[in-house]
Amino acid sequence: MNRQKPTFEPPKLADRFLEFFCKEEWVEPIRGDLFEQYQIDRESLSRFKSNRRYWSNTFNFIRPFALKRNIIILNQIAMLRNILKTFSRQLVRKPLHHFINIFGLSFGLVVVFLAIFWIDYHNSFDKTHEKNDRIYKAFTNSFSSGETQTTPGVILEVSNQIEESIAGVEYLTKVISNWRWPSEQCFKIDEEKSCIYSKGIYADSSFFKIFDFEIIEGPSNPLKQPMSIALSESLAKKLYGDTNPIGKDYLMDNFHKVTVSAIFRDLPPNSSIQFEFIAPLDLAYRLWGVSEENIQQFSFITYMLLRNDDKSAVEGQINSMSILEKHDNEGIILHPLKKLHLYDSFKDGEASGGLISYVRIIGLFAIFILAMSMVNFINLTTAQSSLRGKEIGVRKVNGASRSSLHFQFFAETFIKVIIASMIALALAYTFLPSLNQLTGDQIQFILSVDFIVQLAAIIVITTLLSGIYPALLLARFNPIRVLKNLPFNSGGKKNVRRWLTIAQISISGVIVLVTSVFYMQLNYLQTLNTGYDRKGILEMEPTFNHIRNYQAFADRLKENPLVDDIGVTNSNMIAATYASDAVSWPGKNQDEKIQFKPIGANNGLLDVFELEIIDGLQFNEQDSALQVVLTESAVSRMGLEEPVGQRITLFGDRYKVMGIIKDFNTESLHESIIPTILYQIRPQNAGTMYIRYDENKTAESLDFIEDQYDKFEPFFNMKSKILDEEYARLYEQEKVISSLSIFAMFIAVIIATIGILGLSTFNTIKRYREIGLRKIFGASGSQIIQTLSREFIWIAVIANLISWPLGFWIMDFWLSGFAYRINIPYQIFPINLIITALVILLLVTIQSLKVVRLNPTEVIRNE
Amino acid sequence: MKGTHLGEFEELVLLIIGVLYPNAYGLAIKQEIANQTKRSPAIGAIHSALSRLEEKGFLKSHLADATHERGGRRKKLYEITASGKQAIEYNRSLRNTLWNQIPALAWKNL
Repeated sequence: MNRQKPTFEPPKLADRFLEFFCKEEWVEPIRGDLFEQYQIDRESLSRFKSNRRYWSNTFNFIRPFALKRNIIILNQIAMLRNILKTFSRQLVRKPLHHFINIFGLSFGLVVVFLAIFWIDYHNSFDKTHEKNDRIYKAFTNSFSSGETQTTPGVILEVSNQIEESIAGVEYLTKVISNWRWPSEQCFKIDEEKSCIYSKGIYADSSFFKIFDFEIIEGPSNPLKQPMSIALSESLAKKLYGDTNPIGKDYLMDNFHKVTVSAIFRDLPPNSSIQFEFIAPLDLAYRLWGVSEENIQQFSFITYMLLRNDDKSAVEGQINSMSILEKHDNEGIILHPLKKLHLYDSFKDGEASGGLISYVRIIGLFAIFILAMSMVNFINLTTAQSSLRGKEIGVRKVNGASRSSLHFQFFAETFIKVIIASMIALALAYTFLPSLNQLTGDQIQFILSVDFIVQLAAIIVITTLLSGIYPALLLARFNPIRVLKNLPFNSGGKKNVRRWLTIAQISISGVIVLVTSVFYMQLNYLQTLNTGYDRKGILEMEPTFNHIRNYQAFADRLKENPLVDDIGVTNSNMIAATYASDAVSWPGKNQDEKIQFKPIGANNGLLDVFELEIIDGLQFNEQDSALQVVLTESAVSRMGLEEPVGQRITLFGDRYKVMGIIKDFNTESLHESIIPTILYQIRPQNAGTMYIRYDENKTAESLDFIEDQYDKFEPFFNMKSKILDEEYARLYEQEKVISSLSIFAMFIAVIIATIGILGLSTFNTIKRYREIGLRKIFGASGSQIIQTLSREFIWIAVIANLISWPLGFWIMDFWLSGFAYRINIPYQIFPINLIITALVILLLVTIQSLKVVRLNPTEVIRNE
Repeated sequence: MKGTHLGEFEELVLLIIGVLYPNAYGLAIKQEIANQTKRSPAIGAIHSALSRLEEKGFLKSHLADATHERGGRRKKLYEITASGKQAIEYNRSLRNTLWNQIPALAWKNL
């Protein structure tokens, strides 16, 4: 009969808490009561509610009778209260001073917070995958002409071999992405509606075993179903609205029937792999009309999941595979997925940098700006310290020790830093959308655990660094001198404050110098002659119908005066990355491997890009023979004397050299020009059309071209880009950084101005009496201004001497990433000096004018 | 003065302890107060009052045996002491005398 009822366990943490504060003799009866009450509560209430009551009942016992004696440290609490009270009185007495002080600090902090958000965002790329430590992307290094070129991807026969024979590779997936077609698809659900273009990828079925992209509906590995496609949540919504798309059929390229098999969650913006649809690799083969046997030499983007994180062992095994002997000038490297975003450029076959260099520069700028605003904080605090003399004197007389005074001033700084951080957080929240707009990122204001930790660290460091000097200084005051109204060392050592200001001005100098070089370099890149006029060229993607009827389409376009020329290529004229050494010519040393960039073209393309023939002729379109046109640098690399009319071999076929053209850029100017070979292709093999139109009538021209497009292709909508805009996009990163640093520069200059103003105000106030005497003895206004500003000229000079080498070093580091770079313009150094000196003089003069107008008797009489 | 004064809530607790004899402990007192007066004091307030009353010498306590429904913890059982009894008796007699002194006329017009 006495069967015991099951009991419920109350929250343990609450019990621990009770034990923490409650006297030992009370713990047992109280806990018993709480426990009993909890059992009763659980009979009728939810667990959550009962727990809440348990907690609130526990808190209810924080009453004098139950508290442990040693919990009540009345003395310290009283001290803290006193500090708070003095501090709040200070705030009330000198609100403006404290406002400037705190706000100045939050100015620096907001820059740091925004920088942290930006840096954390770029650090967070590709970290959502559970196995992300073991995921690698494969790159192929090809060695030729003494250089190593690193390109993403591995050719099929090699990756198949890796999958079969390398035990350290758990899964390998081949992906087709970033191809104009079929990666970009025109989705047309309804004949009436226009295309919805969206980008996707094709991958084999290991893809979902490596990556954790979340499937919302459908099988967990949709790539196993042939002729199927998985859509992102938002694409599905765009296409099918609220109806369930699973199982719906869709004609891909208006021809191949595929079934929607799954819906996956939209990819986060901080993923390097981006796609709105994903389909099996077989489907891409089907779209291309090839089988796997045909494309053994074709390079696919390849990701691998290693069994354990031993990258170099696997790399070694891969590179010693026998199949690579055929490709003796190639090697394969594995690049960790989590580094993909920040380290995306390669030098000598190894990851060498990329966005990371910008991350570092921005981080450095943020630290600089924070340091500058801390200097202001220190200077303002110490400058006002004479006002605290009495308080400190009284405290000392009453027995305050130095360490307790230190504690007091640190506590005050801490409170100020906390307030400043809160203001800065609010400002960061306000400015984050503008930052996103500027950078094109999608950073969200999330107070993640990481961020809170960083925030706490910044608060502590800022408190320590900006609190230490004032605390030491103020605690040192001699109480007797203070209380007897004798002069005491109130402002601290003059030198310290002067050096702090020098540091500040040199930092802002560095930022100004570096920013101006950023700006000049970017400007240089955008105005640099690429070998042709970029304005007024349209890049258009033709469909099968356009290239089949190319001649008719071209004629129709050219009938209109709005269109000058039209040409075709199988490459991308501003981002042609493909290079090959499968070229030979008469007199070639067969051991030598020199890379050339082969680009398929027709005469129209030469006309569109105004690639002038300087020797020989254009392609002869009537002649069916294989023909090439060489650039000057290609000719000189081959060392051909009389190139026109000679025959060279390209991809194993003999081509006749028809003409020579000047060099032009086919890539972003981060890269140097690789000698280019244009070989004639027939329009039927083209992938892209370029059209030169009347740039003064852009809208009209585009309308006309689109009209003609639709006449030849009723199913698809025209997809086109303006070349100049695309070109600007190549330098998007640089543009972002240059706008970010211009922003940083403004803030730095403002903070430095506040700093100079502060120091000069303080100096003039301290020298009131001296100035009065000088005036009595007949000093003129300009002489007094001279006296007051002499010191600042030295400050400007020394600060510049510090910022020059530092600025030079940062600029040189950054510029070394460009193949086409400006030389560091040396004149900016003296210009910077002159401007700093002038600004400082102006500020000091404004300050001094107040003093000059002063009546000397008023100052002197004060004695 | 502090030694003998009995607050209203303290008196209530003391009386309830008498009612519950010999099983008066924190939670039981709280429940009994809730039953009898429809008030629901916080459990902490009860213990606070108990500790005060014990300090004044109106109560004595001992720990009872552990029981299962308390998770193996012992109850602190309270009993009224002689001076506790005195204190409530004093309150009661004071109240009675005062009652008796109210003239009957005072109620007339109610």
